[in-house]
Amino acid sequence: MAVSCCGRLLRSVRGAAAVSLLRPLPRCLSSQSSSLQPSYVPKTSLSEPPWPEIKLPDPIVETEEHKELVQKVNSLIAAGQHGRLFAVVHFASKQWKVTNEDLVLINGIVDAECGDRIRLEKVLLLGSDNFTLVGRPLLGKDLVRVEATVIEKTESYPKINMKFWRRHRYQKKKITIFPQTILRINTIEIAPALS
Amino acid sequence: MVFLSLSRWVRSRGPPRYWRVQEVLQHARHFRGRKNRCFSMAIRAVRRAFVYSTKARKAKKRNMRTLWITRLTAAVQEHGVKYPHFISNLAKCQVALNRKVMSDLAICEPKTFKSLAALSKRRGEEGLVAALGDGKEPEGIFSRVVHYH
Amino acid sequence: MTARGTPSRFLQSVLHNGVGRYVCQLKRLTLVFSKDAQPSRGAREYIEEKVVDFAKQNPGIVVYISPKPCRVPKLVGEYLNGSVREEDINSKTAEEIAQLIQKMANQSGLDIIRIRKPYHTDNPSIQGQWHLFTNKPTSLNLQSFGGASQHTDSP
Repeated sequence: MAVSCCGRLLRSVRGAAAVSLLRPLPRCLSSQSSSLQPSYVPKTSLSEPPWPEIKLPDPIVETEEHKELVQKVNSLIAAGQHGRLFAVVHFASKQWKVTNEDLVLINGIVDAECGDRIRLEKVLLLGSDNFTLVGRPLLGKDLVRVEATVIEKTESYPKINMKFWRRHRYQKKKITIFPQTILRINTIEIAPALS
Repeated sequence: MVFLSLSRWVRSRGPPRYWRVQEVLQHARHFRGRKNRCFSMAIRAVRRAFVYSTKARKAKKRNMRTLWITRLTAAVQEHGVKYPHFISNLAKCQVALNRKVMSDLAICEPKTFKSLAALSKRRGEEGLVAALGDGKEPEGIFSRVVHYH
Repeated sequence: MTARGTPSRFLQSVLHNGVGRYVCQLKRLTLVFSKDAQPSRGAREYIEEKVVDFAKQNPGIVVYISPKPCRVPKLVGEYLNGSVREEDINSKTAEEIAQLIQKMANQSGLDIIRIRKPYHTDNPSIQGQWHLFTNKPTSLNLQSFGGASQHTDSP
């Protein structure tokens, strides 16, 4: 599970750590360059590879930054100062971006009576003002808890499905009514433990 | 004189036809011209309207997806990434968000979206480095794949 | 129904129903049937067997039973937001009537018309909605004035 930061906690741009890249040797060495001078390659279309040179940050520096970050986020969560949380939940084969006191309409039946509290388990992303937790692909069940109540189990309005071919005397009309469920997302809670 | 069989001669041909005609005309009330009053013109227009609405339901899904993709392309360009790279790198990082939710994040949660763009950029760079380095170096941190059993 | 031909509304709930407690939205159920006619047979069976259980399970719903000489037995449901829904139970069996009543009890009184969006949020944006200057450097906001800056002394 990757912890990614955003906003004020965004880590600094990659450092100057060099990664060995294969560099093509310059073709013609001019008589002026010697082993004492730093090799100067005039910029031509073939002097450098066409892809940009990438320098990844130093892994040690990165692990330290990561530890700091995790500490900060943990302290925020433990103190309960995260503010309003939002989550991306996968439910009824759709993904919903959800906060507290949200209404969600599901086309279909949910096996719960009106007024029952339900826990939505497949959480893909959790965020607040200062940090985000991105799940790969899901976040752990012991980490996030999203609870919802079933408010209403209605039926949809009658949807008309019509086919008509002109000059062929072919027309079909079908009226579909399917059950719908309305959920209200009550709470999104986060457990104070992060590895 | 009382005509006892008068009522048998004057037949009411029944309200059912009226209701059947009204069922169609009620769907045509907001149309223009004689289509909203005269039954034979209305029924043709109402049929077309129903057929268009059924076809549009399928087209809506296509159009919404292109809209999300356009929005994501725009949002992601701001962070210096390209949309195809963004999508492929996120898929390689095992992040399963769909385009609808990601476009909502780009609009309403810009900081989260920035972090997703940075994640995909970093994963892309690690991929390039791995491809250039010919597998002799250890794989990057963000390229690690989580295995579920 | 076409989108423009029929009325539509946004997804709502009556008075923020689920946020605190859940309240059943059906307040009154009136069962109008006839004592002797054939079409009310299902209604009579339902009243004999299942009404009392239903009323006990849903203490928030008041059930009125009025046997009247009528040709068509009806079920009238009144909801907390004032809307009234009449359903025909003409020649239905007791099970069908029971299902219908359960369905009405699960509904709220809002109209069954096209719902524009399958979600509703009061707080769509937590981190601040995107605007043109969100991802731009703040140096765009700075304006430098040529010459030494002059501070006016205010007493």
